Amino acid sequence: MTVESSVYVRIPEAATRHIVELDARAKASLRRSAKLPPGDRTEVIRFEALHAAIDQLAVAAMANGEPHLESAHPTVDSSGRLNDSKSLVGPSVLLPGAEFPFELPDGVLRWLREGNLVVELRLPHAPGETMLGGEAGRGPPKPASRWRNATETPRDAVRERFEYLISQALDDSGNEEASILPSGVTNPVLTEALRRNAHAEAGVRRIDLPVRYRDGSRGLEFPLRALTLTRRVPEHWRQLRFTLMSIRHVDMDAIVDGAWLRNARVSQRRQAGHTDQVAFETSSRQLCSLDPNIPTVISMYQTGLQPAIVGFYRAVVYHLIKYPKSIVVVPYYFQGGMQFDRGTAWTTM
Amino acid sequence: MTYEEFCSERGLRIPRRLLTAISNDLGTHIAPIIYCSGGSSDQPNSLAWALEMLQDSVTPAPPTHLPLIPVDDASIACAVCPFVDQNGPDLESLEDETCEVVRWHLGQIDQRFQGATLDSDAVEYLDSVVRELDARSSGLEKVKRRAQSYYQKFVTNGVRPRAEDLRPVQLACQNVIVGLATLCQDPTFDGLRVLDYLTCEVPHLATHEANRAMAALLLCDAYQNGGTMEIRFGSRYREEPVPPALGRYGRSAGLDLGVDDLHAITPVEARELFLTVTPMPDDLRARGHDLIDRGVITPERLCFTLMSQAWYAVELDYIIATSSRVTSILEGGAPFDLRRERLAEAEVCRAALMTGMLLRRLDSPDAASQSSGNVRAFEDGSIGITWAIREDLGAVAMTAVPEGALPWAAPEHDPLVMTRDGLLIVVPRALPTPNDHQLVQTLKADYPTAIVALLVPSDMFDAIAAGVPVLLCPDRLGELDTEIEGRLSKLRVGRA
Repeated sequence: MTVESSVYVRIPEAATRHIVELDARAKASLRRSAKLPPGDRTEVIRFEALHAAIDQLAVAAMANGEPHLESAHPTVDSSGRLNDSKSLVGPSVLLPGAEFPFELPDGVLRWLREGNLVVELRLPHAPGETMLGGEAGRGPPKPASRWRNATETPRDAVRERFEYLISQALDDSGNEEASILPSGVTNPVLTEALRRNAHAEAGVRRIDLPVRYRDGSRGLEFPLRALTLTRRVPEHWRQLRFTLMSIRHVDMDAIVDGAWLRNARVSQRRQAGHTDQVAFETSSRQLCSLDPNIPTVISMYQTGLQPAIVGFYRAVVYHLIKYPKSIVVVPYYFQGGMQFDRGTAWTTM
Repeated sequence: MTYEEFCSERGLRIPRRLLTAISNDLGTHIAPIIYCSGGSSDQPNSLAWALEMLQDSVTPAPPTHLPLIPVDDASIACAVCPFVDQNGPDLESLEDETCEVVRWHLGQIDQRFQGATLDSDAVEYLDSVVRELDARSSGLEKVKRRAQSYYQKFVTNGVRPRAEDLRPVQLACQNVIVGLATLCQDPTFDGLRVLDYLTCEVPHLATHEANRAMAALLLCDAYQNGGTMEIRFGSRYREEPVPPALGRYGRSAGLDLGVDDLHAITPVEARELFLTVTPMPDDLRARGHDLIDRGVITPERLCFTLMSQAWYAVELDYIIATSSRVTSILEGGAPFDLRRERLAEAEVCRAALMTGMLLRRLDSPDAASQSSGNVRAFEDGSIGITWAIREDLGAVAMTAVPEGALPWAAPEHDPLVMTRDGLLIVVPRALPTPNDHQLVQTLKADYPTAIVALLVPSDMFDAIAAGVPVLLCPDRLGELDTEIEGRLSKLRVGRA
């Protein structure tokens, strides 16, 4: 079986300038990537293409007889993931004079002291035993338990199933697998169930549960049993009406003051956990921009995109924890045409 | 010819359960198609007539094979009867004796497919065929009606159906429909509901292939929907047992389906079935089971990865054999800014991808270019090259590679020429180092009759030392990375 090794290649002077340029462009790409919404791969692809060019130059240097060194490999932890605490964030170009938060072979340090540029290639094909991870005999997780609903209609079944899974997760909150599973849950069921579980009876401990989507991605924890919620909607507060996402139903534009989230930013092909993050960060920012001294009733006309709903209401809960009685959110669920059902208000009044 | 004469002539006995079943109620139902005892060889559908067919087949059937019913126009279902054993068990213990049913092809066929198991029990087989045929015409009507409704509701209106909407599916091979089903995710049990399930055996397809493919499709859908993986049959208000054809396929593969619940494949059964229907060479299956045993991946993810073709079998085999990063790769890869981890994964994926491309290129019979007369192309034809991963070296040995010049020769170099041995060893590397050059030379010395070559992207040729045999993948490094990004993206959002 093969193992990983780090191959350090001393770059000849003729190629140094080119690699330094590529390294600078790769780092710029990394910086731009940090500004993009989660899941946007534009700069990822650019960064990887630039680094592939650096790697190719290093291989060409090796082929031309430039000195190179090979060193040890990382191991895996019990979950099968590589336990590599020395991870180098960014390009694996070692510039002379730079400081490194990890150990390097003496030969590489000498090259760097001598003013040479070094490129590290982590290659997986050195002879040795592949570490498979895990633990022999541990076995896979058990198949899911069978479940039958006690209700008649599919809609009630979705609600019952979602509530059942949340209550199971709350009972088993110490388990790392315990989480909220919003994928496939309809808009009203998801919102109402989250509201019911965000409400805390007196003396009940708050539990923050992670959100796990069907694609395997995870969202930030959602605070449950975190607020004492009521149904009272003050009549004389400022009223703002939003659609949760723009463009989805343009007919509504006539009755709302604006769209809370931009569809182009939210409805992208990426992991649901990233979409949740975008919705949460945008919503948190926008809620904070409201003056807490001017209490506001937000009527949210929403259609169903689960990560957007979870992200938005997570932000609402955190906002209400920080600024109690500053906002009231009343959900309105799309029923087709211009029909909406009014949901239960999220308010601490 | 009667059953008794058939047995006494050949020293066989027919299990008592089978005889009793045929002479009772089951016999009445199966009468129109069973090869009946007592007729002459002039009489179609008689036992004597079927025996003559078996004897006249390209490969004559063994004497133990008792013809039961036709499978299709070109094959017969035969019960494999045991020889009379003078010192055998007493009659009482023979009461529950079963005998296997196999499919005997009458025409020319690859011997790998001759005599494939149709069912592990002849009585269960006949019973399942009766039930299947009884329900077929009404089933076809229902599928047709539901497909029309689907067309009007979704296709005509340009609406994308949700998982909960009833969807018709059709399986076809070379323009012959071999399977039909309608299915939807059902929230009342958080699993897949299959309202209709129809399959058939056809002469040009391996035994049970329609059932295997349909079961794979159902399981992939169930996995993608993210429920419990339970599959229930029939409508919510009138459930039906596990389809007879699917049950038959399960028994032929050693699986009992619908045991805990007559109307359902439970999540436990679904896991076993998923592993059964997913084609894996022995090495890959062993490696996959090792990872499952260690709790590194779930059986469902392994099977779905292969069935969704996120990675082909040889590619996944290479990744599992040579990398410690299987979990990360199957979850969509390491964060890109951790360049060292990312490169280690990318390099394994590049090697796997190039190997897969080469295997598919070598394994495709280019019938059109080789034919001097009329060309008849089979879209699913293959030469039958097998592979083995040398996990200690990250090399791939391919056997049964046809003689002649290999593709992907380096520019201005003579192509490598395969000999009659048919053994090709490739060392796939996107970033080849001097150690890899040395490895190729060592392998050449160890396997003097094999062709050994380094397999690299087309833009890495300049980095190869003179004298090292090389195959140049048509893709450049950047193109490989684009393809890998697509594969990893599919794994990240495939179930979104």
